[in-house]
Amino acid sequence: MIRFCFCLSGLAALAMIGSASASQLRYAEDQAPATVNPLFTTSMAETRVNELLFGALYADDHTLASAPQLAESGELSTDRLHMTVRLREDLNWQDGSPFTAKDVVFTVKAMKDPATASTEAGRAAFISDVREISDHSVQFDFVRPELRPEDRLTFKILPAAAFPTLPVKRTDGFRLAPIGTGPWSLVKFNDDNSVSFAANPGFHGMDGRDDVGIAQITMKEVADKNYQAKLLLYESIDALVRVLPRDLAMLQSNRKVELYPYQTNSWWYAGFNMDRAPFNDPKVRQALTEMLDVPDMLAPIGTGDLITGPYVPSSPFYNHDTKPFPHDPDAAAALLTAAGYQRGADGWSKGGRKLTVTVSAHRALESGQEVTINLQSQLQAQGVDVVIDFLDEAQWRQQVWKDRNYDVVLSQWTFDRNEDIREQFYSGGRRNLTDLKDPEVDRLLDAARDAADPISRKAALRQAHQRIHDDMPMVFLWTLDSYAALSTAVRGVTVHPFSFFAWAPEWRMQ
Amino acid sequence: MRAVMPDSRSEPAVILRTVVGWLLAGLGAIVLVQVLVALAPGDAIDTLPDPALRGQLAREWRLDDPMYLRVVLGTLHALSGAWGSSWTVRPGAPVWALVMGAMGSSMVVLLPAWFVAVGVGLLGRGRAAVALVSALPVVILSLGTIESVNALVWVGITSGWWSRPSFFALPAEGGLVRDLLMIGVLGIGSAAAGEVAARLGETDAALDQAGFVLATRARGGSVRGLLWRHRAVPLLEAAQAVFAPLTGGLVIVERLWGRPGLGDLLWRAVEARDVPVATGVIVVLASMTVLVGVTLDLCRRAWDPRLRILV
Amino acid sequence: MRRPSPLVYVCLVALIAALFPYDSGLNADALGLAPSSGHPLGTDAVGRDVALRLFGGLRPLVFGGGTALLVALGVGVPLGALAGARGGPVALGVRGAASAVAVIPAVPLVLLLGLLLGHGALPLGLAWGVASAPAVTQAIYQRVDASRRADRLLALVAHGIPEPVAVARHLVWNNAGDVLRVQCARILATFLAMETALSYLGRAGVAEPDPSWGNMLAMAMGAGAGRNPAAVASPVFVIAVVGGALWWAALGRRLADSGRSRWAPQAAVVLAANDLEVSTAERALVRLSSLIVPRGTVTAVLGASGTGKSLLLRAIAGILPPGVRASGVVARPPLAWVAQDGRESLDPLRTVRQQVTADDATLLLSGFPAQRLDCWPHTLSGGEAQRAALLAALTGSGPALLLADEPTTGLDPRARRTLTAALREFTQRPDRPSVVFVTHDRRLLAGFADAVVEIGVPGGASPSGEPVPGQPGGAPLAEAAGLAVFAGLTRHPGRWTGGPVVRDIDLVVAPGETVGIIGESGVGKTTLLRALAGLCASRGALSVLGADPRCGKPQGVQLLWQDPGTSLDPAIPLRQMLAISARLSGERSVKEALARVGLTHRADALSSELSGGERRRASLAQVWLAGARLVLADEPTAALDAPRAIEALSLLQDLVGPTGGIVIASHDLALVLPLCHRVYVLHEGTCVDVFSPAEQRDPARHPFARALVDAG
Repeated sequence: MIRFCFCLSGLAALAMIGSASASQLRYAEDQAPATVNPLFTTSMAETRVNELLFGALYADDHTLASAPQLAESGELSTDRLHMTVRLREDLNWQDGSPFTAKDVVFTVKAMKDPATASTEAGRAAFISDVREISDHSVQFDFVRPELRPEDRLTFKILPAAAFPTLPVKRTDGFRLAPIGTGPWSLVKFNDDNSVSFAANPGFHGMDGRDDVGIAQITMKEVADKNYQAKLLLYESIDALVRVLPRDLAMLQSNRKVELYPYQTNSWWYAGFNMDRAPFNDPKVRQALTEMLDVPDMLAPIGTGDLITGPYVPSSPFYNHDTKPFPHDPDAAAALLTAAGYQRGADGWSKGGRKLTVTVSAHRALESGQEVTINLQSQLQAQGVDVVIDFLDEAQWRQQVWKDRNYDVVLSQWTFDRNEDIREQFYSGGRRNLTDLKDPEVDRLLDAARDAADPISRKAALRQAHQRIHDDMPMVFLWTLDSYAALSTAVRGVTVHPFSFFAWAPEWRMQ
Repeated sequence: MRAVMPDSRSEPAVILRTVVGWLLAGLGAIVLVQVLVALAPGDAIDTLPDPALRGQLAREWRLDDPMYLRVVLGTLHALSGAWGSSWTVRPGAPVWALVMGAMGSSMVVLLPAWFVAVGVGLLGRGRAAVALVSALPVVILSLGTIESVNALVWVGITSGWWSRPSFFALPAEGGLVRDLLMIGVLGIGSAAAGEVAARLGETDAALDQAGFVLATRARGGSVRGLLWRHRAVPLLEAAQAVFAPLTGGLVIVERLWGRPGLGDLLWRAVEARDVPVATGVIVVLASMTVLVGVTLDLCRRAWDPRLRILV
Repeated sequence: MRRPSPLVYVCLVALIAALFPYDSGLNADALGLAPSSGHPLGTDAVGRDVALRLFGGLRPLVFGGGTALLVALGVGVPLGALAGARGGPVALGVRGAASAVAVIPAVPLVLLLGLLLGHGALPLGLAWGVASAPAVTQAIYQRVDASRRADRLLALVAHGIPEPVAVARHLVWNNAGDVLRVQCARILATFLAMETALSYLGRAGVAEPDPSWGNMLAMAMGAGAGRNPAAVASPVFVIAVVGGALWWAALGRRLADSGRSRWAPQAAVVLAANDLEVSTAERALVRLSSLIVPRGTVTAVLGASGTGKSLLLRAIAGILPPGVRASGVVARPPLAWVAQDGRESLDPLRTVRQQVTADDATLLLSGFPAQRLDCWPHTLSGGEAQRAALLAALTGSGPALLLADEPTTGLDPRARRTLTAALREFTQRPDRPSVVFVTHDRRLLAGFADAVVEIGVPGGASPSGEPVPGQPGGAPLAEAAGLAVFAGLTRHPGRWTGGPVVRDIDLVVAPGETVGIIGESGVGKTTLLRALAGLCASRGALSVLGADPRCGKPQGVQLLWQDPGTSLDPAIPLRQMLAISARLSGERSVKEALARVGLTHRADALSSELSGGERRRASLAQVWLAGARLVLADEPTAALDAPRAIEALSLLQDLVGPTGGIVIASHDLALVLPLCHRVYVLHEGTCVDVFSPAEQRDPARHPFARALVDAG
């Protein structure tokens, strides 16, 4: 009898261990953030954590337009080279000290300081100088006239008091005990690589909403992607940032999980290294493009939209008049012949050398394996030899970014709301992996940057879309539908396509 | 050509030689790991996107120094205890803290798994048993870690008809279930059963025809205690041999079940080319191996008088 | 010609399948189909046929696993053999290096090496081979080291076989086969597991689109099991089955147990057996029509070597080797069995005191010195060990029957006397136990045995009469002056321990002479012989066959080992072993050797299948084929009955010829003395007397020499 009671009480104790406490949101990431400091953000996981902890001068409202968050209002000068921003006066940092203009000035200076080597330096490059006018107002000077600077003043602000000196170092203690103005504050880094956050009592949100619906948030690291969706089903987590296409069916049929589709500005491509023969020959590039049956490549990995240029179809800059290259093997063969190749028994060759394409892909690219296999299979059926090279992170950075040692690179780009493709397609751009050097494209991109109004900007970028499509530096593949999955216990959910937690203070847990 | 006589130097000299031998092995491992990481394509800085940051860190981490210099300095730092801080796994975190934290977590799994491994090898010495046991881990792992634990509940939960019982803590959430599963799979899966079985099989074959065993059996006496006394040393040797594969398997189970530990840390350090962390983990593993090796060598000597007292 | 093992067939199948072309064609309409008639196991996530890819998955196993085997064995076996053969600092260095690689966990090591080498099946195999080599090194090292400590390596090298050949062929290839099999199984099975793990964890296994079971599993798991469960189940099944099968093939069969039967006490007769037969599956080994042992008596079982006397004893004791059965033994009384070598009868891990319960009377009876009770068995001399074994046999309530197998082997004549007296006394105890002992020596029977049972049929060549001393003359074959021999390494004079084992030895052996060295067990006769061959360290003037053997053993000097099996490779037939010996001198033929020693009918037997006498003759053949001019014989007549012993000695003289020389160290004075020209007596570390057989009864003899001669 006594033993029975012990067993019962033991079970009851276990019951209490297993259950989640009230108003706690648990979400999963592939890898825990290595550092929590917006100056040194390197991964999307860190971006999402920054969203929880910090605020910015301007942030997106529900229509994805910029609205003041830490700023009260802003005034742009007529020559559009200066802006005076008035800051909100009722804001405090999580440690209680007031939010002042010093913090804004310090943040911008830290971002721009070369000794800090901030990964976000590019985001402040458009600011030439910043000055503190009063306790709660700041003046920005821009390098060139800005159309809508509030779209770009979206970087996170850090407290000046937490950093005794410039330059800020990566290993600074701030990363272990960050202080922000955001709705949550970081409580601790747990031993099992999870991170706990608690609601910030002194939070003042946009539109005067101060209450934070969820008291606690826990970020769990779940490296095994096969696991993540299952954890949601088993109520071990409450939110999954991105659901893999293969798990969609499983989650859709479950009543306790709700799927939230969102459009990311993210698209896949297969880029040619135009610095290398034979990919510097447009006929070869076009031939390879026309050999590929892109919908077939998309089929195994999920649903999405095919694209013809460097934007997603829902983007205002997408040129819907651009026609995609047809899937036409015969035309492709004719192009290759015109380029000097001959089709022999074992494929295309020129001057005794076979046409061999090495496709480099990042190992961590989801579904990358399936796509590369299909690509290889399609090309090989048409006589082109394909070798696939999967690279880990360090190899990827060295081979693709540093050495530019590849033939074709299969990857995806993700853009924030600004969709600034300049670095990717401008001659000599830092992310111009294909080495595209087209003066017309440069001119159009410059025109877009200097445009006086949104309409001329849109026109220039649409023309750029067409032009880039015609240049064929890459095969534009598709953009995938993205879904977030949350437990039905979480109410009032709206998901920001880029930073996920932008509107999280409005979420409620049942 | 020379005659063979057992080593007849004094006891302390032999013990010293044992310890020194193991220490040299540990040192070799530390150097080897650094050389391999340095040779691997890509550097730690290549995992960071920003060129300005890259230049600064390359200078700080001396990535452009000649390799022999990097390896020598790295080894000296490792041995002196000045392990520095992590480069890319957890930037700025002291390596000592990272490794010690991971070690505690790993030991909870590693030590029981070691016993399980030797125990399984001991109990399953038959041919069929070894074959079966060797086949088991991949089956368990591939069933999916959740399904293998609660196949019954799976159906109900996937269809959404009933909730998970709240007292059931899943492997991914930590807790006893996960740890037991990890220990079990690691212990069984480290191919220890085969090794232990082979060694003990050899010993048993020799013992079966040994004079004193035959004499005891002829006498009708119990041979069991005798056999176990003689199996002790081969068992110790098998335990020593099995320790290394266990650390290899530790990487796999930690990554699969998301438990932080030395294996997981080493994997991440290798992927991120984080030399201080990788070196720190190897130093810890080498120390454990040295400790195990020396202890077992000494136990062997203490147990078997033929190794101690030389004729 | 042995039948090829099943492993060969498996390899053949694997090879064929590996070269089988597989279809990697993608079919976007056929993603993740369930098994059907067109696709027996369905399709995978990208539309490829699973069954064909399973076949293709044999390739990484064959090529990658094969590479791993090649590298691991190619690196591990030579290094392990080197370390085992050399010992000392070389072994330390090799094992240290192997341990250094073993410390690094295998999976990250393979990951790192894979980054350097590439990610196909071959580079992966190479990496795994490197990671697995330390275990192979360790396993081979242990085997070779054990052989070295058992003097096998020494025997082969002393015979004239170059050391690398001896190690590679005889120690590793012929006799470490089971170790190699286990390691092969382990390497292949763990290669499979590791490739699967790497594919799953980080896509670091065999890269797509090349098939491997690991990446099939990874893709199928990634695609979700709901689509096509066969895509997950089939690689799992195959990996599990192949891994299990590899281990199954590598491990040997379990040993069979032998049975027991119950004993009912009878008044007057301790043991009664009728139509006793001991046999294997193929043939009968020993037959005895009846054996009756009354209480309190000593029964001798007499027979020539090779007649199965020991087996008979073991059959009675119920401890036959596996594969051998006995019929006709009715019941067994409480008995005790003592092995031929006393040390073998004692548990080496316990002191003598812990293994015996002996009152003073029994101690006295056995003749074991009380002050040696706390010693470890391996430190006892031969005679002491025999007595201790006897003591151990008498432990407990006391057996009704004591079975002793050649109890006087290896004892000098005095010790022999004492032991037989002890056994006699033993039967006078109040509970009147009986003794059955086995011997080939008729001389023991006088005054000791109450009954004699003769078994077997004497076989082989008949003795050719008494050996005749040769005609000495010419330059001495061996000459030593003031020789001091140490128990240490010739190569490392600085590390010789303690004092010399024997010192002030002056010895001469002329051509045609036979020289004897006699003394108590353990006095150093064996060490002196080895010193003459240059194997043991020594100081002083020494010249053998015109050269100093310490600078390199001359080919014409051969050793005959006490255990003739030491120089015979147990894994190859006699004919092959003799062929190796014949190649050393190149002058003599194997056929002639076999004929001269009378082993032509046993030429295809393994050395473990030969009887003691046959083995002795085989070693004589070896020595003759190697062109011996000076033979150093260590107890050549041990464990041989008188006819065989005489035969062996005369054969020895015959083979060495009138110009050769023989040095014999022996206990068996009665046999050996007649044919020696000169006898050296060793006592307490030095030579106390030298005499020729004619002078053996001379009162001028040293008292110890006289005692020895009298006892013999």
